[in-house]
Amino acid sequence: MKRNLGIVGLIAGLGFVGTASASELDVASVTGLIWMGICCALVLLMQPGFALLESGLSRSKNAVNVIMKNFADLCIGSLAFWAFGYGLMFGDNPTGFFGVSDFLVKPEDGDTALNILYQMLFAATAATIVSGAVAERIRFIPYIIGAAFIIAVVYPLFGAWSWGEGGWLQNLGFVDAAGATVVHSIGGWCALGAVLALGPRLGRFSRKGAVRDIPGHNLPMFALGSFLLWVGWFGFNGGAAVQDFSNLGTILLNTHLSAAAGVASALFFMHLLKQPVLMTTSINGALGGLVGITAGCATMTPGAALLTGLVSGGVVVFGTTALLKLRVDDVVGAIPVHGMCGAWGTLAAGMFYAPDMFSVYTMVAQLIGIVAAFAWAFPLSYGVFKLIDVTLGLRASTQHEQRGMDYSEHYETGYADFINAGTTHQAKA
Amino acid sequence: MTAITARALSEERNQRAVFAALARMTKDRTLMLECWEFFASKFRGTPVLSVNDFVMGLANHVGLDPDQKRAMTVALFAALNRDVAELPELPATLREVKADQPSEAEKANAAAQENHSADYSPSQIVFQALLGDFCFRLARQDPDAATDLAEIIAEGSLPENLDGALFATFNQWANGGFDLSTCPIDVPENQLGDIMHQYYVGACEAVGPVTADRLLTRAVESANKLPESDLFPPDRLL
Repeated sequence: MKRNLGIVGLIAGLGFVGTASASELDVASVTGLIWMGICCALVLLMQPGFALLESGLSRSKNAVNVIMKNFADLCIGSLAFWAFGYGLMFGDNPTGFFGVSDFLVKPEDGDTALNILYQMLFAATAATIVSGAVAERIRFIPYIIGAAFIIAVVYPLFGAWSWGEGGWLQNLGFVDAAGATVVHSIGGWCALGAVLALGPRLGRFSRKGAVRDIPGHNLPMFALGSFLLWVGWFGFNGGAAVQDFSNLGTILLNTHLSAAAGVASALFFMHLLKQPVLMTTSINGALGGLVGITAGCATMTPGAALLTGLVSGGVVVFGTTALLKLRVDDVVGAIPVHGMCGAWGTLAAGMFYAPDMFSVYTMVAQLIGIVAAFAWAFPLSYGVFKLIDVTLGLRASTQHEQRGMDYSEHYETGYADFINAGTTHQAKA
Repeated sequence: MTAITARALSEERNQRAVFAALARMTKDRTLMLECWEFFASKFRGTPVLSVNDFVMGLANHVGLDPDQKRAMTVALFAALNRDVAELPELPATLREVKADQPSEAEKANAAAQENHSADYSPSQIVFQALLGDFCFRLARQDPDAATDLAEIIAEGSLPENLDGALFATFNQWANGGFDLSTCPIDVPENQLGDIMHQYYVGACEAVGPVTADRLLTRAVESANKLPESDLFPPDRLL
């Protein structure tokens, strides 16, 4: 479903940017415009959320590098999406597969400009998901190239299928209100491809198969980042209300309920499995719940949203365990949270689609979308990151891993006065 | 009472208090020795012991858990408030080994310095101290991991252009349990950093990156005590 703001022409037509008086303004349209502006700010707030979350879960010697990656993929990705991605996603789409116009897009009015900005921030979110998974061992410039490719090609092409006017998935009746698959699963599967192309961090898995914990350096920072994401999610999902403003309350309630249920479920499963009650897993349960509800936030009842969140929490717990058994080193749990919960949430959006619950047709359409997302994003991302690895070198040397990516890539360290194993080399500088 | 006598008394009381507090906190002799080594190197000469600074530093250095930190703080405050005569005598072995004499690593470093300072460059001496201390600590902490590290090194993770005889020397040293006194030193200067790094990589495989980082930090601290570290800082080998 195209994230058509539903306010095209209203503001300009009513003279908001022209000469008409304030009395001529359509209050509902202006309200919509203001709400979308707030949503843009909230979605942008998710970027510092991701930065704090990912940096907190990394070792202190990599803190700057992680934040730099988030900053850079927001900026470079925004440019790439404006130049190329927007046209692929929302340009004229005669084949149903990709747009062929609106490259280097020039907005005709304020409404379109706001739509471009909103979509740009969504695109940056997809790339940021990858950044956390590959933290602590990927080289900076090759990562930025990969992220730009995701934002300019991988994400918008799938977006064209499901949100672009005339996209083949949209024509099938695929439901994804705010991007559980379009943004989160695509980001999660790209992360899986990147992680497999890159390999695990030095010493993460022993030769005898043991999994070694590499604790983050600042879990309060991780928690703060997660809270920011939770707040930002009200804008991420809330933007879907612009098509029917009366639905805004339900969307926000569903979003919150699902996140809360995700935590409750993660706590339950950790207890059931006799695992320690980890804050990291609990918070990832909340994020899983938020991702899970993203597809059906506008079309589910609160009860169904709660159920979606409960399952999402379990998906996070079991998904994380399964990845470790497969020796996949995902630093922040991006693959279970975004990839797997996004897939589950998209299926749930079909199952609990309020106008037609448990419709086989809708569920099949959802499954096709889920499989298409994986089949498109994972191999392409893996291939691109492998290509970057062969040509430019993707993986940091073990020497750089030892010194930390902060010093090796940026010549700056996050905690200059704090001497630890990762920063002892500062004396050399 | 002269100032010197007062200072000596104060230092004696601090030592006894720390020993008493350590004895209350843990029965693990290895941990206690590590803690004592930290005290001896950082706080022994301080007439006024800051409990907070010491416990925080100790916690960072040896990795005390919150319960141990709390127990140490309480016990140390209590001990420092007692008269020196009421505190237990410092054991002679502890005094000899840890308080009044250098640690094993420092002794080995000193021996190496005496034997080789005329023959080897500061970088080689620092390398021996750094690598020796790093591997010695690893072996002491986890003998199985030391065996793994020896296997990893034997499998050829050292630089390819390393001299065959030297490669054999490193293997021999590894198979001998990384004894401090036999740590190779006669290594070409342009390979010191590479070899140190390969041992770090091997340690990451053997004990994990978090422990390897911690051991490396301590080895750097130890190597920094050498006079040669002024001429060649250990960080240059990292």
